[in-house]
Amino acid sequence: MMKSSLARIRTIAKKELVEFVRDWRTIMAILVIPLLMFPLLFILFPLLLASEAAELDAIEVEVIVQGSGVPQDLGIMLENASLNITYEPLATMETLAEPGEDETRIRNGSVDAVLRLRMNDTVLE
Amino acid sequence: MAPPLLSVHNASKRFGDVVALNSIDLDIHEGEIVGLVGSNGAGKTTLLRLLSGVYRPTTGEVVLSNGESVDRAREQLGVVPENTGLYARLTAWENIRYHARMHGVDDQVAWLRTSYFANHLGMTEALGRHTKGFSRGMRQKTALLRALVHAPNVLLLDEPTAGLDVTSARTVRELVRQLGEEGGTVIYSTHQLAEAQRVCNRIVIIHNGEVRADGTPESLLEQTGTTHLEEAYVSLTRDVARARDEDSKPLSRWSSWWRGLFTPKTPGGGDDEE
Repeated sequence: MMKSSLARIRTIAKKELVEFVRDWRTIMAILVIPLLMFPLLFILFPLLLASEAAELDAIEVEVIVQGSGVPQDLGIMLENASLNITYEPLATMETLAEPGEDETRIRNGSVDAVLRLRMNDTVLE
Repeated sequence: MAPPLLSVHNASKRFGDVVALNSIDLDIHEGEIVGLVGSNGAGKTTLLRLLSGVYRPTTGEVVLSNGESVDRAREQLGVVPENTGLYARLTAWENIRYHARMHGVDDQVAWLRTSYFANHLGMTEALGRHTKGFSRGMRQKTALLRALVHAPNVLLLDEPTAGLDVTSARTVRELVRQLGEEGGTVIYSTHQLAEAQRVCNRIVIIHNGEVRADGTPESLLEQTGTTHLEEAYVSLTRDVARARDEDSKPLSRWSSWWRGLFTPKTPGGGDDEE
């Protein structure tokens, strides 16, 4: 009187389904965890990233560019880099690495960086 | 005499080096209520598992009256294992109906059989309840109903009254007796001799994996020249009972080390008794 394999499979599947549906703890875990995770992933995470980006935008970087012949492409890059750029003439000095008076400006925080440019024959230093 | 319903021919069962059963010969005839009696670890459960086709004998065979191996004709057997194996999230009736459907029994027929036996066991009200909250007695009764639903030729019960209260144990025994009176065949494993004497018309005493005696309670008394079955049992099982199979398996070095980590040491230095 044994049942056919297909009927047995159906009986087992039905029993497993009933058992699964009645296992409310597992079902809750399946439903609740995505409900908690989705807002976290799609709302809170982008908000966090946006606030980080806004914070970065708020920072003002003061850069002094010293020199007369700033190449055009470099000038465009500097203008697009969200920096406060001030152009100054380059003082006379032996090497560009000499700190000079600029060291005091960087140390007291009035300037964040100094970019010195000088044409040495055909090479930009 | 009619051929036996179930026959065990020279069956042995080994687990590695451990011989759980050694050269068992047993014929179960229709209408018999056979009590398998033995101490813990004697081999009763192993023999029941051989009879129900859960284990295959290492040597020998267990066959039905038509010569078919028992593991190919399990639908002819109703089994109540020691651990009832009920599905906790199904109701008692759903557990029974699932078993019935697996055996191709129509739901209505299954319900008629179940309600008939449930009435005897006082289980009718509980059939619609989830088995998760059932007491040991209720679980045992549900397992018994499940084993009976497909009208098996032989019913195998592994210590069906172990852990039951007096009333539940009595109800189970009465049902088994009734099944016997109706011509049913039952194999009833127990370690309580008095219980076997009350329920069974044939007692098989198993000790250290061997059949020490097989017969009616009267014939056992006659065989041993005693006046009480308890004395007969003691005289038949005088040698020391072996350790349970799982305890006697030799442990590997790592298993021994691992077990040692969690075994509390007594002040005297020896291990605690379990």
